[in-house]
Amino acid sequence: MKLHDQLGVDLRVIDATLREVIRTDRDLPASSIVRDGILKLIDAGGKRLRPIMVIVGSRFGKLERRRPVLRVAALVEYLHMASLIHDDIIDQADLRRGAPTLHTQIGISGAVLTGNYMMARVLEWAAEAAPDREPDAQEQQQSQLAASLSELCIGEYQQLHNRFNFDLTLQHYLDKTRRKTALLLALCLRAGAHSTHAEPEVAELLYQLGEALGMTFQIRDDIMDFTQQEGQLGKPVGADLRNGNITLPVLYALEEPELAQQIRALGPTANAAAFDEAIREIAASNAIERCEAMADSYAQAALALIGQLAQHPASPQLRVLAQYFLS
Amino acid sequence: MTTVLIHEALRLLREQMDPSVEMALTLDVVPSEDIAALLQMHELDSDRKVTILACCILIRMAVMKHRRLSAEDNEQLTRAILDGDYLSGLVYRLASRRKEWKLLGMLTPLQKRMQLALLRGRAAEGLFAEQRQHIAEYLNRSCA
Repeated sequence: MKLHDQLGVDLRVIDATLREVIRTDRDLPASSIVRDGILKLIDAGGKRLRPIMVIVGSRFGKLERRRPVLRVAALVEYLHMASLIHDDIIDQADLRRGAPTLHTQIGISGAVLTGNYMMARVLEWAAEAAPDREPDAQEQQQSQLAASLSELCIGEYQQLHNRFNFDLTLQHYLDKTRRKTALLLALCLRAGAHSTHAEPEVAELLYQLGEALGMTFQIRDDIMDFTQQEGQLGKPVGADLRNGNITLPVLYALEEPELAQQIRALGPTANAAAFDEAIREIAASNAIERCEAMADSYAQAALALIGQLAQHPASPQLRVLAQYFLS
Repeated sequence: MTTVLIHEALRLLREQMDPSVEMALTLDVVPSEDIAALLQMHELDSDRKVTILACCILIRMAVMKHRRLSAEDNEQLTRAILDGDYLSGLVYRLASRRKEWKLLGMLTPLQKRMQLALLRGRAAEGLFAEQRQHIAEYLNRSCA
Protein backbone atom coordinates (compact mmCIF):
# COMPACT_ATOMS: atom_id res chain seq x y z
CA MET A 1 0.00 0.00 0.00
CA LYS A 2 1.36 3.42 -0.97
CA LEU A 3 2.07 6.12 1.58
CA HIS A 4 -0.79 8.40 0.48
CA ASP A 5 -3.27 5.49 0.64
CA GLN A 6 -2.11 4.55 4.12
CA LEU A 7 -2.62 8.15 5.20
CA GLY A 8 -5.94 8.64 3.41
CA VAL A 9 -4.58 11.44 1.23
CA ASP A 10 -6.14 11.79 -2.22
CA LEU A 11 -3.33 12.69 -4.62
CA ARG A 12 -5.87 13.62 -7.31
CA VAL A 13 -7.00 16.55 -5.15
CA ILE A 14 -3.42 17.71 -4.71
CA ASP A 15 -2.72 17.41 -8.45
CA ALA A 16 -5.94 19.26 -9.31
CA THR A 17 -4.87 22.08 -6.99
CA LEU A 18 -1.42 22.18 -8.58
CA ARG A 19 -3.03 22.50 -12.02
CA GLU A 20 -5.41 25.18 -10.78
CA VAL A 21 -2.45 27.41 -9.85
CA ILE A 22 -1.43 27.56 -13.52
CA ARG A 23 -4.82 27.42 -15.17
CA THR A 24 -6.11 30.42 -13.25
CA ASP A 25 -3.20 32.67 -14.17
CA ARG A 26 -4.68 35.33 -16.46
CA ASP A 27 -1.20 36.54 -17.40
CA LEU A 28 -0.30 33.19 -18.91
CA PRO A 29 -1.51 32.57 -22.49
CA ALA A 30 -3.87 29.58 -22.85
CA SER A 31 -1.29 27.87 -25.00
CA SER A 32 2.34 28.55 -24.21
CA ILE A 33 5.53 26.58 -23.74
CA VAL A 34 5.63 27.58 -20.06
CA ARG A 35 2.06 26.54 -19.34
CA ASP A 36 2.40 23.25 -21.22
CA GLY A 37 5.79 22.51 -19.65
CA ILE A 38 4.49 23.01 -16.10
CA LEU A 39 1.31 21.01 -16.70
CA LYS A 40 3.44 18.20 -18.10
CA LEU A 41 5.59 18.30 -14.99
CA ILE A 42 2.49 17.99 -12.82
CA ASP A 43 1.08 15.20 -14.97
CA ALA A 44 4.37 13.30 -14.67
CA GLY A 45 3.28 12.75 -11.07
CA GLY A 46 5.52 12.13 -8.12
CA LYS A 47 5.24 10.96 -4.56
CA ARG A 48 3.93 14.38 -3.43
CA LEU A 49 5.71 13.72 -0.18
CA ARG A 50 5.80 17.35 0.89
CA PRO A 51 2.09 18.07 0.36
CA ILE A 52 1.35 14.80 2.16
CA MET A 53 3.42 16.03 5.10
CA VAL A 54 1.51 19.33 5.10
CA ILE A 55 -1.77 17.43 5.21
CA VAL A 56 -0.56 15.15 8.02
CA GLY A 57 0.60 18.23 9.95
CA SER A 58 -2.80 19.85 9.41
CA ARG A 59 -4.50 16.94 11.19
CA PHE A 60 -2.95 18.15 14.45
CA GLY A 61 -4.87 21.41 14.33
CA LYS A 62 -8.06 22.52 15.96
CA LEU A 63 -9.98 23.42 12.79
CA GLU A 64 -11.12 21.69 9.60
CA ARG A 65 -9.80 24.04 6.92
CA ARG A 66 -9.50 22.18 3.64
CA ARG A 67 -8.76 25.13 1.35
CA PRO A 68 -6.00 26.79 3.42
CA VAL A 69 -4.32 23.40 3.87
CA LEU A 70 -4.35 22.79 0.11
CA ARG A 71 -2.90 26.28 -0.42
CA VAL A 72 0.10 25.43 1.74
CA ALA A 73 0.38 21.97 0.15
CA ALA A 74 0.51 23.51 -3.32
CA LEU A 75 2.98 26.13 -2.17
CA VAL A 76 5.53 23.62 -0.84
CA GLU A 77 5.18 21.37 -3.89
CA TYR A 78 5.75 24.30 -6.24
CA LEU A 79 8.77 25.34 -4.19
CA HIS A 80 10.03 21.77 -4.52
CA MET A 81 9.27 21.48 -8.26
CA ALA A 82 10.92 24.82 -9.02
CA SER A 83 14.02 23.72 -7.04
CA LEU A 84 14.12 20.46 -9.00
CA ILE A 85 14.09 22.34 -12.32
CA HIS A 86 17.08 24.38 -11.16
CA ASP A 87 18.80 21.33 -9.62
CA ASP A 88 18.47 19.38 -12.88
CA ILE A 89 20.31 22.17 -14.70
CA ILE A 90 23.07 22.27 -12.07
CA ASP A 91 23.36 18.46 -12.09
CA GLN A 92 23.25 18.37 -15.90
CA ALA A 93 20.48 15.77 -15.66
CA ASP A 94 18.79 14.84 -18.93
CA LEU A 95 15.98 12.78 -17.44
CA ARG A 96 13.62 13.03 -14.48
CA ARG A 97 11.19 10.19 -13.78
CA GLY A 98 12.08 8.84 -17.20
CA ALA A 99 11.03 12.02 -19.03
CA PRO A 100 13.33 14.66 -20.55
CA THR A 101 14.13 17.45 -18.07
CA LEU A 102 12.69 20.89 -18.81
CA HIS A 103 16.01 22.54 -19.71
CA THR A 104 16.70 19.91 -22.36
CA GLN A 105 13.45 20.96 -24.02
CA ILE A 106 13.36 24.75 -23.68
CA GLY A 107 16.98 25.63 -22.87
CA ILE A 108 18.70 26.64 -19.64
CA SER A 109 17.52 30.24 -19.45
CA GLY A 110 13.94 29.28 -20.24
CA ALA A 111 13.95 26.58 -17.57
CA VAL A 112 15.44 28.87 -14.92
CA LEU A 113 12.84 31.56 -15.64
CA THR A 114 10.07 28.96 -15.60
CA GLY A 115 11.18 27.85 -12.13
CA ASN A 116 11.17 31.50 -11.02
CA TYR A 117 7.73 32.02 -12.54
CA MET A 118 6.34 28.97 -10.68
CA MET A 119 7.58 30.29 -7.37
CA ALA A 120 6.14 33.77 -7.87
CA ARG A 121 2.87 32.46 -9.33
CA VAL A 122 2.10 30.07 -6.47
CA LEU A 123 2.65 32.86 -3.96
CA GLU A 124 0.43 35.19 -5.97
CA TRP A 125 -2.24 32.47 -6.20
CA ALA A 126 -2.07 31.76 -2.47
CA ALA A 127 -2.48 35.46 -1.69
CA GLU A 128 -5.37 35.91 -4.17
CA ALA A 129 -7.69 34.30 -1.64
CA ALA A 130 -7.58 37.47 0.41
CA PRO A 131 -6.41 40.38 -1.75
CA ASP A 132 -7.77 43.42 0.08
CA ARG A 133 -6.91 42.97 3.69
CA GLU A 134 -3.92 42.53 5.97
CA PRO A 135 -2.71 38.94 5.63
CA ASP A 136 -3.55 36.60 8.46
CA ALA A 137 -1.05 34.46 10.33
CA GLN A 138 -1.26 31.71 7.77
CA GLU A 139 -0.59 33.99 4.83
CA GLN A 140 2.37 35.35 6.73
CA GLN A 141 3.53 31.75 7.13
CA GLN A 142 3.34 31.38 3.36
CA SER A 143 5.73 34.28 2.84
CA GLN A 144 7.99 32.75 5.44
CA LEU A 145 7.92 29.46 3.53
CA ALA A 146 9.04 31.35 0.44
CA ALA A 147 11.80 32.87 2.52
CA SER A 148 13.06 29.35 3.24
CA LEU A 149 14.26 29.26 -0.38
CA SER A 150 17.25 31.32 0.73
CA GLU A 151 18.00 28.81 3.52
CA LEU A 152 17.93 25.93 1.01
CA CYS A 153 20.39 27.87 -1.12
CA ILE A 154 22.76 28.33 1.81
CA GLY A 155 23.00 24.53 2.09
CA GLU A 156 23.88 24.41 -1.61
CA TYR A 157 26.46 27.19 -1.21
CA GLN A 158 28.05 25.31 1.66
CA GLN A 159 28.31 22.22 -0.53
CA LEU A 160 29.73 24.22 -3.42
CA HIS A 161 32.35 25.95 -1.27
CA ASN A 162 33.47 22.68 0.26
CA ARG A 163 34.05 20.55 -2.83
CA PHE A 164 36.93 18.20 -2.02
CA ASN A 165 37.43 19.94 1.33
CA PHE A 166 38.57 16.96 3.39
CA ASP A 167 38.88 19.18 6.47
CA LEU A 168 35.12 19.69 6.61
CA THR A 169 33.84 19.29 10.17
CA LEU A 170 31.01 17.04 11.28
CA GLN A 171 29.09 20.13 12.42
CA HIS A 172 29.43 21.65 8.97
CA TYR A 173 28.10 18.46 7.35
CA LEU A 174 25.13 18.31 9.72
CA ASP A 175 24.36 21.99 9.20
CA LYS A 176 24.43 21.63 5.40
CA THR A 177 22.27 18.48 5.55
CA ARG A 178 19.76 20.21 7.79
CA ARG A 179 19.42 23.13 5.37
CA LYS A 180 19.45 21.12 2.15
CA THR A 181 17.09 18.31 3.12
CA ALA A 182 15.61 18.41 6.60
CA LEU A 183 14.46 22.03 6.72
CA LEU A 184 11.74 21.80 4.06
CA LEU A 185 10.33 18.58 5.54
CA ALA A 186 10.23 20.23 8.96
CA LEU A 187 8.52 23.30 7.53
CA CYS A 188 5.91 21.13 5.77
CA LEU A 189 4.72 19.49 8.97
CA ARG A 190 4.75 22.77 10.89
CA ALA A 191 3.06 24.81 8.16
CA GLY A 192 0.33 22.16 7.91
CA ALA A 193 -0.20 22.39 11.67
CA HIS A 194 -0.31 26.18 11.56
CA SER A 195 -2.86 26.11 8.74
CA THR A 196 -5.41 24.48 11.05
CA HIS A 197 -4.41 26.50 14.13
CA ALA A 198 -2.62 23.74 16.02
CA GLU A 199 -1.20 24.59 19.44
CA PRO A 200 2.24 26.25 19.03
CA GLU A 201 3.99 23.53 21.08
CA VAL A 202 2.44 20.81 18.89
CA ALA A 203 3.55 22.64 15.74
CA GLU A 204 7.05 22.92 17.18
CA LEU A 205 7.22 19.19 17.98
CA LEU A 206 6.11 18.45 14.41
CA TYR A 207 8.85 20.73 13.11
CA GLN A 208 11.45 18.85 15.15
CA LEU A 209 10.03 15.55 13.92
CA GLY A 210 10.30 16.63 10.26
CA GLU A 211 13.88 17.67 10.89
CA ALA A 212 14.80 14.35 12.54
CA LEU A 213 13.16 12.35 9.72
CA GLY A 214 14.93 14.47 7.11
CA MET A 215 18.32 13.98 8.78
CA THR A 216 17.80 10.20 9.01
CA PHE A 217 16.69 10.04 5.39
CA GLN A 218 19.67 12.04 4.10
CA ILE A 219 22.30 10.16 6.12
CA ARG A 220 20.89 6.85 4.87
CA ASP A 221 20.91 8.23 1.34
CA ASP A 222 24.57 9.18 1.80
CA ILE A 223 25.35 5.65 3.01
CA MET A 224 23.56 4.09 0.01
CA ASP A 225 25.72 6.15 -2.30
CA PHE A 226 28.56 3.85 -1.20
CA THR A 227 26.84 0.57 -0.47
CA GLN A 228 24.37 0.12 -3.34
CA GLN A 229 25.00 -0.94 -6.92
CA GLU A 230 24.90 1.46 -9.86
CA GLY A 231 21.70 -0.19 -11.14
CA GLN A 232 19.92 0.47 -7.85
CA LEU A 233 21.20 4.02 -7.52
CA GLY A 234 20.60 5.10 -11.12
CA LYS A 235 23.99 6.86 -11.01
CA PRO A 236 27.61 5.75 -10.48
CA VAL A 237 28.45 4.34 -7.04
CA GLY A 238 30.10 7.05 -4.93
CA ALA A 239 28.79 9.84 -7.20
CA ASP A 240 28.84 12.28 -4.27
CA LEU A 241 32.54 11.77 -3.64
CA ARG A 242 33.33 11.85 -7.36
CA ASN A 243 31.65 15.28 -7.47
CA GLY A 244 33.65 16.44 -4.46
CA ASN A 245 30.67 16.32 -2.11
CA ILE A 246 31.97 15.29 1.30
CA THR A 247 29.31 13.22 3.05
CA LEU A 248 29.26 11.47 6.41
CA PRO A 249 30.82 8.15 5.26
CA VAL A 250 33.81 10.11 3.94
CA LEU A 251 34.13 12.16 7.12
CA TYR A 252 34.22 9.03 9.27
CA ALA A 253 36.56 7.25 6.86
CA LEU A 254 38.93 10.21 7.13
CA GLU A 255 39.38 9.35 10.80
CA GLU A 256 41.07 6.08 9.77
CA PRO A 257 44.70 7.03 9.02
CA GLU A 258 45.38 4.68 6.09
CA LEU A 259 42.10 5.46 4.43
CA ALA A 260 42.57 9.17 5.06
CA GLN A 261 45.75 9.21 3.02
CA GLN A 262 44.00 7.52 0.11
CA ILE A 263 40.98 9.85 0.26
CA ARG A 264 43.06 13.02 0.60
CA ALA A 265 44.85 12.13 -2.64
CA LEU A 266 41.53 12.54 -4.49
CA GLY A 267 40.54 15.75 -6.20
CA PRO A 268 38.92 17.14 -9.34
CA THR A 269 41.71 15.75 -11.53
CA ALA A 270 42.03 12.29 -9.91
CA ASN A 271 41.38 9.37 -12.22
CA ALA A 272 38.32 7.12 -12.05
CA ALA A 273 40.33 4.13 -10.81
CA ALA A 274 41.51 6.08 -7.75
CA PHE A 275 37.92 6.99 -6.95
CA ASP A 276 36.74 3.40 -7.53
CA GLU A 277 39.28 2.05 -5.07
CA ALA A 278 38.64 4.66 -2.38
CA ILE A 279 34.88 4.14 -2.70
CA ARG A 280 35.29 0.36 -2.30
CA GLU A 281 37.47 0.89 0.79
CA ILE A 282 35.02 3.32 2.36
CA ALA A 283 32.11 0.91 1.71
CA ALA A 284 34.03 -1.88 3.45
CA SER A 285 35.18 0.28 6.37
CA ASN A 286 33.85 0.87 9.85
CA ALA A 287 32.67 4.29 8.63
CA ILE A 288 29.44 2.79 7.28
CA GLU A 289 28.56 1.27 10.66
CA ARG A 290 29.21 4.59 12.38
CA CYS A 291 26.98 6.37 9.84
CA GLU A 292 24.21 3.87 10.49
CA ALA A 293 24.55 4.55 14.22
CA MET A 294 24.23 8.28 13.53
CA ALA A 295 21.15 7.71 11.33
CA ASP A 296 19.67 5.51 14.05
CA SER A 297 20.16 8.21 16.66
CA TYR A 298 18.09 10.63 14.55
CA ALA A 299 15.51 7.87 13.97
CA GLN A 300 15.29 7.32 17.74
CA ALA A 301 14.86 11.06 18.26
CA ALA A 302 12.03 11.00 15.70
CA LEU A 303 10.29 8.13 17.49
CA ALA A 304 10.67 9.90 20.84
CA LEU A 305 9.00 13.00 19.37
CA ILE A 306 6.14 10.86 18.07
CA GLY A 307 5.87 9.47 21.61
CA GLN A 308 5.39 13.01 22.91
CA LEU A 309 2.44 13.43 20.53
CA ALA A 310 0.95 10.01 21.34
CA GLN A 311 -2.15 11.49 23.00
CA HIS A 312 -3.22 13.16 19.81
CA PRO A 313 -5.76 11.25 17.63
CA ALA A 314 -3.63 11.83 14.51
CA SER A 315 -0.50 10.41 16.13
CA PRO A 316 -0.72 6.97 14.40
CA GLN A 317 -0.29 8.80 11.09
CA LEU A 318 3.11 9.99 12.25
CA ARG A 319 4.12 6.38 12.78
CA VAL A 320 3.11 5.64 9.17
CA LEU A 321 5.17 8.61 8.01
CA ALA A 322 8.12 7.55 10.15
CA GLN A 323 7.96 4.01 8.82
CA TYR A 324 8.20 5.41 5.31
CA PHE A 325 11.30 7.44 6.14
CA LEU A 326 12.97 4.99 8.50
CA SER A 327 12.43 1.66 6.80
CA MET B 1 20.23 62.11 -0.34
CA THR B 2 19.56 59.26 -2.74
CA THR B 3 23.12 58.01 -2.28
CA VAL B 4 22.62 57.88 1.49
CA LEU B 5 19.44 55.88 1.02
CA ILE B 6 21.16 53.45 -1.36
CA HIS B 7 24.03 53.03 1.12
CA GLU B 8 21.52 52.31 3.88
CA ALA B 9 19.75 49.71 1.72
CA LEU B 10 23.05 48.03 0.85
CA ARG B 11 24.04 48.02 4.51
CA LEU B 12 20.75 46.34 5.40
CA LEU B 13 21.31 43.73 2.70
CA ARG B 14 24.84 43.02 3.93
CA GLU B 15 23.40 42.41 7.40
CA GLN B 16 20.79 40.03 6.02
CA MET B 17 23.10 38.01 3.82
CA ASP B 18 24.66 34.82 5.06
CA PRO B 19 28.49 34.99 4.96
CA SER B 20 28.65 31.77 2.91
CA VAL B 21 26.98 33.58 0.01
CA GLU B 22 30.05 35.76 -0.69
CA MET B 23 28.22 38.21 -2.94
CA ALA B 24 29.53 41.70 -3.66
CA LEU B 25 27.16 44.47 -2.66
CA THR B 26 28.40 47.79 -3.97
CA LEU B 27 26.81 50.91 -5.42
CA ASP B 28 27.29 49.73 -8.99
CA VAL B 29 25.83 46.24 -8.49
CA VAL B 30 22.50 47.18 -10.11
CA PRO B 31 20.90 50.54 -10.98
CA SER B 32 18.90 51.74 -7.99
CA GLU B 33 19.01 55.54 -8.21
CA ASP B 34 15.62 55.67 -9.96
CA ILE B 35 13.84 53.92 -7.08
CA ALA B 36 15.83 55.83 -4.45
CA ALA B 37 14.87 59.16 -6.07
CA LEU B 38 11.25 58.07 -6.24
CA LEU B 39 11.23 57.12 -2.56
CA GLN B 40 12.71 60.49 -1.61
CA MET B 41 9.73 62.22 -3.21
CA HIS B 42 7.34 60.55 -0.75
CA GLU B 43 6.58 61.11 2.91
CA LEU B 44 7.45 57.75 4.38
CA ASP B 45 9.24 56.44 7.43
CA SER B 46 12.95 56.15 6.57
CA ASP B 47 13.07 52.48 7.67
CA ARG B 48 10.31 51.66 5.19
CA LYS B 49 12.12 53.50 2.41
CA VAL B 50 15.23 51.43 3.09
CA THR B 51 13.23 48.17 3.08
CA ILE B 52 11.41 49.00 -0.18
CA LEU B 53 14.65 49.98 -1.88
CA ALA B 54 16.47 46.89 -0.56
CA CYS B 55 13.69 44.61 -1.92
CA CYS B 56 13.86 46.32 -5.33
CA ILE B 57 17.64 45.92 -5.40
CA LEU B 58 17.29 42.21 -4.55
CA ILE B 59 14.75 41.64 -7.34
CA ARG B 60 16.92 43.46 -9.88
CA MET B 61 20.03 41.58 -8.79
CA ALA B 62 18.17 38.27 -9.05
CA VAL B 63 17.06 39.15 -12.59
CA MET B 64 20.64 40.01 -13.58
CA LYS B 65 22.02 36.80 -12.06
CA HIS B 66 19.55 34.65 -14.01
CA ARG B 67 20.23 36.42 -17.30
CA ARG B 68 22.25 34.98 -20.19
CA LEU B 69 23.03 31.67 -18.57
CA SER B 70 25.30 29.25 -20.36
CA ALA B 71 26.22 25.62 -19.83
CA GLU B 72 29.87 26.19 -20.78
CA ASP B 73 31.13 26.57 -17.22
CA ASN B 74 29.05 24.46 -14.83
CA GLU B 75 30.52 26.03 -11.71
CA GLN B 76 29.71 29.53 -12.92
CA LEU B 77 26.25 28.39 -13.98
CA THR B 78 25.62 26.77 -10.58
CA ARG B 79 26.73 29.91 -8.83
CA ALA B 80 24.50 32.14 -10.99
CA ILE B 81 21.42 29.97 -10.44
CA LEU B 82 22.02 29.76 -6.70
CA ASP B 83 22.65 33.50 -6.42
CA GLY B 84 19.40 34.34 -8.19
CA ASP B 85 17.41 31.87 -6.10
CA TYR B 86 19.01 33.08 -2.88
CA LEU B 87 18.26 36.73 -3.69
CA SER B 88 14.64 35.91 -4.58
CA GLY B 89 14.18 34.07 -1.28
CA LEU B 90 15.77 36.97 0.56
CA VAL B 91 13.09 39.36 -0.74
CA TYR B 92 10.52 37.31 1.20
CA ARG B 93 12.71 36.93 4.26
CA LEU B 94 13.45 40.64 4.46
CA ALA B 95 9.89 41.79 3.79
CA SER B 96 8.45 39.19 6.22
CA ARG B 97 10.83 40.20 9.00
CA ARG B 98 9.87 43.83 8.51
CA LYS B 99 6.16 42.97 8.24
CA GLU B 100 5.86 44.57 4.80
CA TRP B 101 2.93 42.37 3.77
CA LYS B 102 1.33 44.90 1.41
CA LEU B 103 4.66 45.49 -0.27
CA LEU B 104 4.98 41.74 -0.83
CA GLY B 105 1.43 41.64 -2.15
CA MET B 106 2.49 44.16 -4.81
CA LEU B 107 5.95 42.73 -5.54
CA THR B 108 4.93 39.09 -6.02
CA PRO B 109 2.65 39.55 -9.07
CA LEU B 110 5.16 42.04 -10.45
CA GLN B 111 7.98 39.52 -10.04
CA LYS B 112 5.86 36.90 -11.79
CA ARG B 113 5.12 39.17 -14.73
CA MET B 114 8.81 40.05 -14.97
CA GLN B 115 9.68 36.36 -15.35
CA LEU B 116 7.05 35.94 -18.07
CA ALA B 117 8.33 39.03 -19.88
CA LEU B 118 11.91 37.72 -19.70
CA LEU B 119 10.68 34.41 -21.10
CA ARG B 120 9.21 36.35 -24.02
CA GLY B 121 12.64 37.89 -24.59
CA ARG B 122 12.09 41.35 -23.05
CA ALA B 123 15.22 43.21 -21.91
CA ALA B 124 15.77 43.56 -18.17
CA GLU B 125 16.22 47.34 -18.42
CA GLY B 126 12.69 47.83 -19.75
CA LEU B 127 11.33 45.73 -16.91
CA PHE B 128 13.19 47.83 -14.34
CA ALA B 129 11.41 50.91 -15.72
CA GLU B 130 8.08 49.11 -15.29
CA GLN B 131 9.08 48.10 -11.77
CA ARG B 132 9.69 51.78 -10.97
CA GLN B 133 6.24 52.62 -12.32
CA HIS B 134 4.60 50.01 -10.07
CA ILE B 135 6.54 51.22 -7.04
CA ALA B 136 5.40 54.79 -7.84
CA GLU B 137 1.75 53.67 -7.90
CA TYR B 138 2.23 51.70 -4.69
CA LEU B 139 3.78 54.72 -2.96
CA ASN B 140 0.99 57.00 -4.18
CA ARG B 141 -1.55 54.62 -2.66
CA SER B 142 0.43 54.12 0.57
CA CYS B 143 1.08 57.81 1.15
CA ALA B 144 -2.35 59.07 0.08
